[in-house]
Amino acid sequence: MSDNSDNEVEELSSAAQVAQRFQEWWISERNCPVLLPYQGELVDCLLDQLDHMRQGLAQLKASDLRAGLHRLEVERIQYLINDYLRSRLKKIHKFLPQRPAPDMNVLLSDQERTFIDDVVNATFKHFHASALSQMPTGMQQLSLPERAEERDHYVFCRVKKAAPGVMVDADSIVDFDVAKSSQSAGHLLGSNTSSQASTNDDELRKKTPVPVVLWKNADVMRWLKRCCADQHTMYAHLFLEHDITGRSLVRMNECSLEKMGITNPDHKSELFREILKLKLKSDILEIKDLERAGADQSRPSSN
Amino acid sequence: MTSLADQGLSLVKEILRCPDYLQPMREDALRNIFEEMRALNEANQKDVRLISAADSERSDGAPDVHVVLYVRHQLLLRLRRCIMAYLDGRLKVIREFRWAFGPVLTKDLKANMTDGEQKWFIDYSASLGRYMSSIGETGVDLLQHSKPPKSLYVEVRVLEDYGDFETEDGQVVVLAKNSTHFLERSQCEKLIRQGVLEHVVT
Repeated sequence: MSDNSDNEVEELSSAAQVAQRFQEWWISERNCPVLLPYQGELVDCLLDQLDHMRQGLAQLKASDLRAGLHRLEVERIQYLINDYLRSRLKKIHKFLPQRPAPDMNVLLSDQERTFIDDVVNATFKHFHASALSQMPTGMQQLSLPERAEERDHYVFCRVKKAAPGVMVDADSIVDFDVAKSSQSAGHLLGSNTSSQASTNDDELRKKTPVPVVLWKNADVMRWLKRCCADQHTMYAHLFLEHDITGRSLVRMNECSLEKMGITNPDHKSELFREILKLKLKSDILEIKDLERAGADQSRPSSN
Repeated sequence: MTSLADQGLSLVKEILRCPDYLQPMREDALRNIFEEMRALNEANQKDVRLISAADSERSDGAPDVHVVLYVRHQLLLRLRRCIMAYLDGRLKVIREFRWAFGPVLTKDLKANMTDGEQKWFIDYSASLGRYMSSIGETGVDLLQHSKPPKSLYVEVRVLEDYGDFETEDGQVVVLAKNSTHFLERSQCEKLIRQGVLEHVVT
């Protein structure tokens, strides 16, 4: 997972992209009840950028309009960074003076680990000096259990890219469709899954499917095998013979299926249902894409 | 017996009752609890010696003594837990001081802190300082930028005479009581937190 985010930072070329990405992490960190993986590269990168911007600002005249705008931007980014680090520290403070368990340790930065060590040591010193040393000898050793990650919280999620069939619990699967607006179609998920989803974000993005209308015959065969395995064994040769592509697939009706040679009414209606389902799904995706494109155009660029 | 468990409980209740104000340390209650713990422990050790002596003679021992031993031990653990919770609760209040007032505390803040707690505060303050300076190349002051910036300049009213205040660009502003100024937010944030300035919201 961390490798994934490393690559991500290298891929991001402009400062605006880094800021955008960091802002997303900041929002997640603020809203998620548990710690998320530390975004050290992003923080360092942004701090670097801030230094550059400040140096640039020093050369501008104070009366310049651009100077004021840039200064506000610097302040804004500095606030994001500070608040990000603060909300992490707040979560860490909740479990002090317990030490984090190993599975939690990977989420922390080196600096945070040092900080926790320092504070825990100081606290135990204080406990010992003010209380434990006065207690009977058998009771002076105090060992607190390590703090494991708590995962039984629910959080709201906004789906950024469609990802059908994500395992939420062992027994339930959710189709993530791109939500029209953040409030109306948020998902309520255990944070266990959501932290997984937010880190697997890039992976989900790559899965965005090819539109059905552009499917070649091979894609159709693959779909047939996946969605209707029984029919695949019986009728695969028919689909192959008629060279059914995605475009012709969504235009099929029960008549054309019969003409192709699927005469069994049960099989025919079942197959037709699957086709309708596929059509519906692809239509929804298309609408979402259009809507998003519209939103992207109307939204002013953040930088 | 009951009076003693109550004392531990009262400590915890006290720290829960006012989570954001530091009361004086209840030294007397703590001392009483330590005294009782010592007594409990001694009683336990005496009984253990009795049992092991009895065991060597007959194997069945005395079950009621075991029960008493167990209850006493649980009491000891409970008392220790109460004290730890009390101390930890106090440290939480003190920790907030660091975030609200910075690394140097005024006399009236220190008034209700014990020597040990003052030492802990210095340690905590140093750890936090080390953490903040280790971020990035030059470090980050997490006490700054506590609110999302809406504008570069804010209107502030001076609540107490402060004298000359030099801004980053070299201008000197005289902060006299009840005067209002239009200053850069980042520069007067610290003074707002200290209570010298007040952000005027219109």
